[in-house]
Amino acid sequence: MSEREDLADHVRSDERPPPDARLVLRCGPDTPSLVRSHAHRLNRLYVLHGDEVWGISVFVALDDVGPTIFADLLQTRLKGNSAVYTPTVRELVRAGFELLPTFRRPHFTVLMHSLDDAPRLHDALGELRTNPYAVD
Amino acid sequence: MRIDIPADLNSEDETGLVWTFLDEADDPGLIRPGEIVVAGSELTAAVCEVVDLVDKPAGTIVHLRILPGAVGQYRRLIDRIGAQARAWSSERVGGGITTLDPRRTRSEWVELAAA
Repeated sequence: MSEREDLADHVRSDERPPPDARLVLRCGPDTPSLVRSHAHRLNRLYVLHGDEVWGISVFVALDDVGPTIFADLLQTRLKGNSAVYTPTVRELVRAGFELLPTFRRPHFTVLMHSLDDAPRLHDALGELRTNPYAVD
Repeated sequence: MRIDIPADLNSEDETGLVWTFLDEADDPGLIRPGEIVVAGSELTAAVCEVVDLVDKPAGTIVHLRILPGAVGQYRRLIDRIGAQARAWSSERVGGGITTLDPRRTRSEWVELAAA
């Protein structure tokens, strides 16, 4: 475990937990198996406060204006993705998942308790939606 | 779709780049800085530039920059320039290369390539 970095060192400590209304964005489609493999990859590289950690990455529409608004993220970072997941923070939290503000805005890590959470997290991502700004 | 290296295309680190492990690549030898690869999954893929490789105790990390556009756009580009390249190749004569006629239309190039 000591060979792994601590994800806690990359948490944006000044970032308040996003309000319930904020939207989460993740390119899709995913499957429970893909969620599991992505979460395993995070676990290979990181621990969290010295403990095992699993999770997947999302972007959160953090602001009302600027480069992290919902439409802007769809038009920029996710422009190459015709399909996206857009659950709200509230939906993910209600499903039992915590969002950790990691690395650079607007990146967050959705934490899982174990790899067995993969199907449940996949369900919590909700329906796959069309990105109206995507290029084919 | 064939993927050169699996990755979570949302997964960025402190560099702001997508990261993944080199040993997950089908052909790790292909993953070199500056190389253009397809990363992601069979369901969600993107054309990426390999930025660098970083050795860490847990394994070698590959940083990827997602290039603009969708994979389908690159596929169509390759189809277009591939046809023209085959046309050029077919005009080689006796080990030399004939002068190409720039007045050829795109459809002529395609016909030439298919011949």
